[in-house]
Formats: sequence, C-alpha cells, structure tokens
Amino acid sequence: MTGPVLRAVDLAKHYPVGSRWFGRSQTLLRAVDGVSFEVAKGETLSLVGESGCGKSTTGRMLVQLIDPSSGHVEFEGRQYGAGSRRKALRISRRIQFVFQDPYASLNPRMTAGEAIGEPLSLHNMVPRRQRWTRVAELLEMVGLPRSFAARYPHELSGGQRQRVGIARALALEPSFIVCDEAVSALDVSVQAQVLNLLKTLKMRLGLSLLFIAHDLAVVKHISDRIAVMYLGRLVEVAEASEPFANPRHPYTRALLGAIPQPVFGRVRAATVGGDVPSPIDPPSGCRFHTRCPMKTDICARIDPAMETIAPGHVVGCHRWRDVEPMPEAGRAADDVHSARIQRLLGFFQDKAGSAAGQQELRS
Amino acid sequence: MSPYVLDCIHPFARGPLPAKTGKTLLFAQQAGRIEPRTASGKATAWQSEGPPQFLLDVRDLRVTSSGGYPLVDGVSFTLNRGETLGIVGESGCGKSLTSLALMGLLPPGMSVSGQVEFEGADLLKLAPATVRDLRGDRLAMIFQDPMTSLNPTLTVGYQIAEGLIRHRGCDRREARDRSIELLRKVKLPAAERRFDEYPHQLSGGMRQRVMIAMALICQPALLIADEPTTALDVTVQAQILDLLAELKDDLGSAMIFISHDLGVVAENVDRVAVLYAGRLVEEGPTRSLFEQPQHPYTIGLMGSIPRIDTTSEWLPAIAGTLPLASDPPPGCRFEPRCPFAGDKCREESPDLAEVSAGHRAACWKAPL
Ligand SMILES: Nc1ncnc2c1ncn2[C@@H]1O[C@H](COP(=O)(O)OP(=O)(O)OP(=O)(O)O)[C@@H](O)[C@H]1O
Ligand SMILES: Nc1ncnc2c1ncn2[C@@H]1O[C@H](COP(=O)(O)OP(=O)(O)O)[C@@H](O)[C@H]1O
Ligand code: SF4
Ligand code: SF4
Ligand SMILES: [Mg+2]
Ligand SMILES: [Mg+2]
Repeated sequence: MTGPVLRAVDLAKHYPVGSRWFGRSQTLLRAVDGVSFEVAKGETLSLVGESGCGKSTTGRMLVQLIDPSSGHVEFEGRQYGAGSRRKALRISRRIQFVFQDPYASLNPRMTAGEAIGEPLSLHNMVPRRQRWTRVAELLEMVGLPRSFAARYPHELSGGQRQRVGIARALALEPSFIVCDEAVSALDVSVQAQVLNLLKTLKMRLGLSLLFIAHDLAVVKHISDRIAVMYLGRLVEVAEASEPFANPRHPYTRALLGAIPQPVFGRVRAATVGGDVPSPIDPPSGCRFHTRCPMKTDICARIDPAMETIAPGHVVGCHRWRDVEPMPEAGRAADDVHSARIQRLLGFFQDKAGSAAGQQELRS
Repeated sequence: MSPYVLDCIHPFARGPLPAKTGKTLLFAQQAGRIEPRTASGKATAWQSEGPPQFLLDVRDLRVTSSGGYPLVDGVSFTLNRGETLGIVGESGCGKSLTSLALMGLLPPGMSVSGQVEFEGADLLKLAPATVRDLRGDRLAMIFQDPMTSLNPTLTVGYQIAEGLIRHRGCDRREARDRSIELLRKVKLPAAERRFDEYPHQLSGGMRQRVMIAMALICQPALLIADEPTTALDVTVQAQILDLLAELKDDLGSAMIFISHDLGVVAENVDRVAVLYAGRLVEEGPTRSLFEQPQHPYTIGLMGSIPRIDTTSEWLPAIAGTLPLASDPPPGCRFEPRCPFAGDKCREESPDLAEVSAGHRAACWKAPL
C-alpha cells in the first residue's frame, strides 16, 4: 500500500433547521461535525456507528452527492469541498457508491443488464458492440450467471439485487467505492456471501473501500482499518483487529457488547442504554457522556482531543486507559467452535460464494 | 367496539412499506380485512374438556399458495406453557407464513391444512370471530417494523389501553394506569408523558417497546415475535433482547421468536427450530442445537455469522439461493446447496429423525 488515495479533511455538514429570525442565528443540525481520515490504495476503511451518527452523510460527501458545509476531500490529486463547483467535478467516475437498499436503488423497469449497461454507455466506457460482452463479464464478476441480464429487479432476491448494484458500480472501473450499509438489509447467510464477494473483488481489482455499517462484527472480515463514529465525530480509529482485541473507547466497547453470537450460554457484555442524543444540541464536553458507563466529572466539561495512543490507533476519550478488554476476544477459531463444527464448516468454505474468486487469487 | 383494536394487532400498512418486509406485510394487510379461512367450515367450542398437554401443538401444518405450491410444507412442533421457541431460517423460507397461519391471518387465496391445537382447541377449525377474539387476548404478535403496525393517528397510550377495554372490560382510568405501568416495565423512558404521544414522536427502539407493551397488555398465553429486532441497530436490538429476556420470566407467556439470525435466538429461547424452504429441517433444545448441530443448513447458518472472537480471514458462507417454491428439488430441498450431498439426497427427501434426546434432524447424513 502506498500513500492515501483519498483524504477527508475536517469534513462537516450542518443543516439549518427551524425558521430564520431577524437578527438571530439559525439553529444547526450537526450531521457531521469535523471528520478527517485517509484511505490508502487497496485499503478498506470501515465506518461504524449507530443510526443517525452521520455515516451516510460522510459517505455521500465523498462521492459529491452532498456538498460539505466546511472541509474538503482530496481524491486522486483533485480537491473538492465547501464552495467548490460541483458540476465540473461530478464527472468523477473513479469513485462510486453502493446503496443500502437493494430494493429501492434499482429502477424496477430496467433489466439487470440495462442497469449495468447504462453507466457504460453514459460514460462511453466500451464501444457499443462490446457493451453486452462487458455486461456479461461484470455479472460473472459478481457471481451471477449471464442469463440474469434479462431479469427485472422483482425477479431477483435481495442478495442478487445487491450484486447487481455492485456490478453497476464496478462498470465505471472506479478505484474507490463507498458501500453504505450494503449488507445491512440482508439475511446473515446472504450477507456472508456478499461480504466474501466484496472482499474478493477488492483484492482482485485493487479497490479502495469505505464500508459503512452499524454492526462491528459485520465489518471485521472486510476491513483493514475501522473508524468508530458517534454523533458526527470519529471517536476511535484503529487497525481492524484492534477494536475487537483492544477497544480503547467506551463506545467501541458498547458496540461490541451489543453483538449477538451463535453460542449457547454466552453472557453478552453490557451495551449502552438509551438513544443517540439529538445532533441539534449535542451534549457538552464529550458527546458520549450522557450514555457512557465510565464518565467522570471532567467528561461533561472538557471535550477529549483525539490522541494517538499507539501507531495507527487514535482515540478520543479521557479514560481510554481504563477501558476493559472484551472477555472473549482474540481466541483461535478452534476454541470458538468445537473441532467438529470447525471441520464441518470447512466444507462450506470451499463452496462459498467467493470460491471461484479465492481460487483465482491463489493462482 | 372500536375497529382500532384490530389495528394494534394487525400489520395494517400505513405509509411506505419497508422493503424487506413488504411481501409479508402486504398480504397480512389484505388479510386484516378478510375473514380467515378455516379448513372445515364447522367451528368447535374454544373451551376444552381437560387441561391440554401442550399449550400449542402444531401438526403437519401446510400452507399452499393460490397457484398450488407448498409454501409451508408439513411443519410440526409443540410448545409448553411459558416455553420459548426460536424459529430460524433465511428470508422466504416460510417463517412469517407459519406465524400468520397460527394467527389466522393468512392472505386470501392461500389454503392451510393440518392442526393447530391451542389451549385445547384447533385454531384452524374455530369460527373466524372466535379466533379474532383470541387475538390480542390469548394470542398476540409483534411485527418487524413497528411503524406499519402502529396507527399513526392515535396516541400510543390509546392503542395499548384499547386491548384492556376490549378484552378485559376495564374502564378508561384503570386501563390507563395499567398501560402506564406496563410501559414502565418495558422501560419506555418517561412512560407517563409518552402515553399521550404519537408513534412518529418515538424512535425505532421506543416504538418496538410500545409494540411489546401492546402485545403483552392482556397477558397472552402465546406471544409470536416475528423478527422483532431485524429493523433495528445492534445496540437497540441488544436492549430489546435484554428486555424480552426479563419479561419472559416475569409474565409467563410462551413465546415464538422468529429471526434469520441464529445468534439472536441463542440468548432467549429454550428450543430452536430451523426452517428451510417450507420444511422443518432441525429442531432441538437450544444447547444441543448450538453445540451439536446436525443439519448441514444449520451448520452453514452458524458459520455465516461474523464472530467477534476469532481471527479467521473468511466467513464460511452457504452458496446459492433458496429453491423456488414452484420448482422444489425432488429429493432433499437443501441438496443443490449442500456440500455433503450424495446420490440418495438427490432422489429421496429425508424425514425428521431423532439424533439425540428431543433433538431431531432431517438429513440422510445425520448425525454428521
Ligand atoms: N402473497 C404471496 N403469494 C405467493 N407466494 C408468497 C406470498 N407471500 C409469500 N410467498 C412465498 O412464501 C414463501 C414464504 O414467505 P414468508 O414471507 O413466510 O418468508 P419469510 O421467512 O418470512 O421471509 P421474509 O423475511 O422475507 O419475510 C416464500 O417463498 C415467498 O416468496
Ligand atoms: N437532508 C437532511 N436534512 C436534515 N437533517 C438530515 C438530513 N440528512 C441527514 N440528516 C440528519 O443527519 C444526521 C446523520 O444522518 P445520516 O448520515 O443519514 O446517519 P446514518 O447514516 O449514520 O444513519 C441524522 O440526525 C439525520 O437525521
Ligand atoms: S471522555 Fe468520559 S464520557 Fe467520554 S467516553 Fe471517555 S469516559 Fe466516557
Ligand atoms: S440429506 Fe443430503 S443434501 Fe440434504 S442436508 Fe443431508 S446431506 Fe445435505
Ligand atoms: Mg445511513
Ligand atoms: Mg418474514
């Protein structure tokens, strides 16, 4: 991995709410409130947090679906941000977006083939005569048979629709894809297939990804680094294994504690109560203090700065040293499943949706 | 009697249908306006002679589409009083249809057969009016998306209290007090104030708490929760799971908890039933099912769940998709996706057989 292919610098998006009064400043909803990160070539950065914390808004600013209120994005040597003219930059086909809802994001009157072929013709990606060959190639790349080109969205399952959405994003040969909750609406079994597919594609095509989810476990297999977001800000950024083995922010730990696992008799670690506070009037000091089980006096008064606590591990909490590790972290797969289940699961690994891709990688 | 009683229980779809549940809700919505069909026209008395052995005894339940395809194909299970059963399987495998069949809420055009003995009477043979009286009283259901089953034009308090007024003959004052008490029990913050609020003023998690209160207000003998946490964030899901576990011990209702995620049922249920393509493929006590799963589909589902505690690189995934109900494989329904399949699997469909005490699996290769 070389230098960053994308840099988000102090991105913010504030929405005016309520009516404007003469002489009075307007109330602002701080959807995203100063977020910075870098993504290297071929790297996957995951953005994790509860509903409403600003993940989608961040992702949409990267692909210029939303203009930031302040801050900017640097992508492949170009810079766009607050005030930059959108039109000229909109052409950027190198960065693409995959939507959460596989049902709503495809035009119901277009076949899968047409949906994938549309960006090809809009951007003149391939000569007209080769268009269908390319569509067939893209379908196969996402693990669908060519014959699916003729199917309409209602004739596809949720997982298949999501694959078509991915093929459509890949049509423009992007170097960067933002996946906004791309697997959240899918069943666990289909989710596993799509996660394996995305991971395979990323390795094969050298893609960089920003992968958005609300469940830390879901991003685990696909991420190189994970950024945890709360109420418009990042609170912890680390290598992918760190939040599991060594969470240093109470919110990260609370997110881990919420994850159900298929184990009999397991006692789930504590999660947080209540809901995310309103981004219109976020709590003073540390924004998490209203729900934090570890808060002390200073937390409500002083906003903790982001601190680099180890190479590549940044955290914003006054008490990061006191966060307890997860009791069940970092075990070998053999200790988690019985040897019997582990052996039987081995058979599924070979038949996985990504099997072909994995073989290709090995050869 | 106010028509809104039914609204609390039926998933009348108001506003946009959520994508994932649209299919299920759409026909439940139609069903709300249609009398449930009974297998035979003759209604039997609801009261039983002696105490029934099981609270619920489902035998050979079949739901057939208007086109004649089997959607639920011979499902049998039992439930004791106060017991919880998890029903697990991927989208489209028949979980919702099974629960709608129990509730007498199948969409028009579908036919149902088999026996559903509940408190000593066969629900499929009862007069529609009798079943309607049972719903919200002895039988209650929680749906995946609270917004489609709550009436947006009525306060949440009204919608909860209505059950008491209708089924228990409470006066308004008492209904209000008991509803607020229950709202506290489901840990709705500021219960007294929220009583007079409308559903849109609540967050997704709070709405789901209201739904739970609505279902529990008459202390039903059986509560069916169809993916009650699937539309929620993991943190809110965890809060709701904790709440259900607490209430379970408190109220003594039996519960059927439906999910596509084995991890979600692991915490809360006494027994687990795994459905695949309309058939029960494995069923057993929770411990036995998680520690000694026998059906390849169950094992694949288990592997699909990302683990927070391992360092493995890839997720084991089940390849392929569910077969079409109109074109099921001739032998074992899981055969096209099963890494253990052999010749016999292609030709003959396996029946459920006991693999250990109280644990059954339908697989030629079981015990694996
Ligand atoms: N109105 C209908 N007409 C015909 N077939 C239907 C209808 N509704 C559902 N089905 C089919 O019945 C089967 C079971 O559907 P059901 O909705 O019970 O599945 P599910 O497990 O609840 O899945 P989901 O999570 O997607 O709701 C599926 O094959 C589905 O396509
Ligand atoms: N167009 C908009 N107008 C006003 N508020 C918005 C708009 N878009 C998003 N928000 C608010 O911004 C916050 C973050 O939204 P979003 O990025 O969509 O969250 P997430 O994707 O994490 O669920 C939320 O409080 C949301 O209600
Ligand atoms: S700064 Fe204080 S309130 Fe914020 S996360 Fe750390 S301990 Fe909790
Ligand atoms: S019967 Fe055969 S195909 Fe079916 S689950 Fe068992 S091994 Fe697999
Ligand atoms: Mg979002
Ligand atoms: Mg369903």
